[in-house]
Amino acid sequence: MNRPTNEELLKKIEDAPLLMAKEAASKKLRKARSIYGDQILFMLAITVIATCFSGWRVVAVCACSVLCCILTDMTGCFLSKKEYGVKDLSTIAYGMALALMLPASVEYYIVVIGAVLAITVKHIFGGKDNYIFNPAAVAIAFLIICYPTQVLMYPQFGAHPELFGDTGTLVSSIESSFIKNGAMPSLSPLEILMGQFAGPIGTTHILVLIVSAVCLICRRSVSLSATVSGMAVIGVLSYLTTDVQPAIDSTVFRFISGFVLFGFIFLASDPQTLPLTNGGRVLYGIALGTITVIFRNTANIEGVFVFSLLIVNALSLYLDKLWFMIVTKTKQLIRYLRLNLGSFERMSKDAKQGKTPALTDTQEIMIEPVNYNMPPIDNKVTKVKRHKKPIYESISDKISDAVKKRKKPSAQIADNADNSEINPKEAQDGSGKTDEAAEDTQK
Amino acid sequence: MDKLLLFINAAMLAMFVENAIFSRALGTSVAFYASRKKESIFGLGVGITYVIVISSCITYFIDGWLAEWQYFYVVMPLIYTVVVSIVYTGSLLIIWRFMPKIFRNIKKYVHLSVFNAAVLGALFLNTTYHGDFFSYMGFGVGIAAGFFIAVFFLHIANDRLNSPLIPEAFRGMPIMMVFIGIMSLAFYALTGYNTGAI
Amino acid sequence: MAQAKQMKPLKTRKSNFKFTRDLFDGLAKQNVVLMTGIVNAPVIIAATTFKKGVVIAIAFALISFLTIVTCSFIPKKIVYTLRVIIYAVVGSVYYIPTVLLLEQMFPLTVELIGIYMPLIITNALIFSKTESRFYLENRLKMIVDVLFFIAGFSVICVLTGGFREVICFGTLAGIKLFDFSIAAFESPFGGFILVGIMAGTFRALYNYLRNRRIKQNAAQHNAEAVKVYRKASSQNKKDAGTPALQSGNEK
Repeated sequence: MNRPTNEELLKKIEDAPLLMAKEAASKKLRKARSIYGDQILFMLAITVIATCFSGWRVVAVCACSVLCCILTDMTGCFLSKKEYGVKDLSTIAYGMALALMLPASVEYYIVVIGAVLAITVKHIFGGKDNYIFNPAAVAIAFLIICYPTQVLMYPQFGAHPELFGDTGTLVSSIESSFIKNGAMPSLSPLEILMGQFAGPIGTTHILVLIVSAVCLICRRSVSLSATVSGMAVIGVLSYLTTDVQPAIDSTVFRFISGFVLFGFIFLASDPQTLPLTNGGRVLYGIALGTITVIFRNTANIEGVFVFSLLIVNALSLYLDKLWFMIVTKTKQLIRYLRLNLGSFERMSKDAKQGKTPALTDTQEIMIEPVNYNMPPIDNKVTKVKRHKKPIYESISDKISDAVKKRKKPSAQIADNADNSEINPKEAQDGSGKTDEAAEDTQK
Repeated sequence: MDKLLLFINAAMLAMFVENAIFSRALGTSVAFYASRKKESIFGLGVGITYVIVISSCITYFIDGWLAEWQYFYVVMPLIYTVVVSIVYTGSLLIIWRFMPKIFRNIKKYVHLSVFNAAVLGALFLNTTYHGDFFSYMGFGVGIAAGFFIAVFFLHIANDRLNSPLIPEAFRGMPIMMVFIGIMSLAFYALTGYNTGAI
Repeated sequence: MAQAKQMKPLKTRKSNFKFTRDLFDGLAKQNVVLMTGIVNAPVIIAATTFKKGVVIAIAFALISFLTIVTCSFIPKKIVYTLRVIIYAVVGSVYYIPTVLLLEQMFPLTVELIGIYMPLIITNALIFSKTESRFYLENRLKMIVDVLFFIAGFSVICVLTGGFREVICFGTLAGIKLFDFSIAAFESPFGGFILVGIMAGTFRALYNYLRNRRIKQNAAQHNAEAVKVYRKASSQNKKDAGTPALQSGNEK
């Protein structure tokens, strides 16, 4: 068995507090299975409502997506010689999320391609415990780029596309007309809440989405910190950067279009890709919101949220560590300021309370304790490198030494001369020497 | 102020839209090597930035002088290679003379940060875009920064990408390619795409 | 002084290359695209059609082969940090006739390949594989080894180009095959994902064939060992005059 090297041990010691914080955070979280179960429940509710508005094709698309995901998962488990987890609800959740982001009129082969791609990516990255990107987000991003006309064109509100065959007249989404013409859709608040506009199956029913979000946050199946921070950042940045007036309408429009609301509830809160600590989740939300707004303003494309989610998923591997570093450095800074910049009265008060070493009349000089008997960590004797003086320091030392040497003979003569003068006190009281001794000294 | 805006615009374009790894696959093998350790990320990043920026400044004047010549595109690689070699040799001599300790540390992999596709690719792309002097410099800085961003993403995902849970056939280079491919998919959105629906 | 000379480390390394064992390394075991991944950019970005794949393969073959063979004559006494410059300059010099020749043959294709044609000069076969493998062998072996490495790259480049042309445009070498197409697969992400999946599949196939060969060799070796043991034990029994061992006692 290979012994761990000293570098690995030191790295483990450095990472230990972070790992302990992560472990403590993970103990407070709900199990992934119950989170996916809650998400599936609410996605089913959205599917039922969408079926009332758009017909049975919605059910067919959802069923096709879920079935393909399950079959691909079984094939993947068989090929990688793993046991297929019947209790693993993540596959069903991804299948439903993918279907709800597609139009009701989408071709079935596109649904199949998306579902197979999503679960293949999950298996390639090592299965449900190791994937980095949300599979549904990968699939929908791929489909948006590869099949834009099929995936970004929707049936009109209230139209019921047939199960097989004619899907009726298709229109572009409200986001598309905003990007093309800069024109805000003229929708009343009731129409917005009831989802009375063209869009993907599950992302237009805003009232249902809001209710789902509240319920899932209460059940801790959706991260409150990530969702609130992300939405806040999108709201503030959209308000500040919009050209369209009134700005509040534009901000609301940003939330109801482009998978933003749906994405925050069902994609961004995937327990596998979300950071573990609350601080990490806040950073996650901030990054997601910021990148979404930047993409919106610079790229002018539809469905921007899923692309920014892919980037933030890759970044989320680092966010726990980043938050931990911010907290520890801030604590160190505060401690340093308290110890070194405080007033004498406060420091003496701390000393009396035993927080710092006791002060005497003159303030104690703090010396760092050195453990002389501490064995070296790696059993190696390391030479302490002497501080090498810079050139100008050594030169100035030499000059001052030379000056001192030159001064020394003249200084000695001056000293002798001082000593040879009669001390008036001695003249009165006597130097304590006898006359003979005085003669000797004079000689 | 205009010059600064030109610099920043060129840098942003190079960092995100024309990202060295995600959009152009320049220097992927160097990126795989650099992503393993934090020290190598910093070292290679600094080296690449330095060489690209200095070489871009020199090639701006060469492009201005030779752009009209019809066979410039044929000898361009040779001229750029000579420029990069001069920058490389001059810098190495200075480091060897005045900072021998640093020279001993970097001499094993300094050639990786100089003779790779990212450096020459940045110079060729500069010629393609053909901006002014500050655009050249900004583009060079942006390419190096974009390379650094890509290597950083690879570094933070290193543990997951080398996990034993990944199928053996995909462990290592293949899964890194797929990872870069998905990141490239996300960055592709920045270039905008003609959906046909719009 | 003599002791100091004995303790001096060896400056030259010898290659472990065996003609029969390592000849096909460049094609399979150390394929520069699918196994080691040291030459990627032209395949991922530029090889989007069959024709582009062919042109890139020809350019890569000419530039790499001529540069590696020419630079094998450079004395190794020159420090590596300076030799690298000579490799780059020699590669750039060979690029000039190569691009002029290919322009005559495929003018439009060379223009479409763009900056990835001159970037072949900086490929890792010239800058790293030479020092770690090629220049440790004798010249004849080196030439054959280089040819196989170049062949490995060329095959993958052409295959990738053809495959992408079929997916993106539904054509192969300009011949229309079917209507199905995913035009966005021409983008960089398509290249990365395709090369990644190809590499994974190739490795899985290679590992399966290697493990099967090892098992077959092991079974054959075990069978031969049992024969040798039986023969030896029966010979011993004849010499010693004791009855031969029963087959059931053998392990």
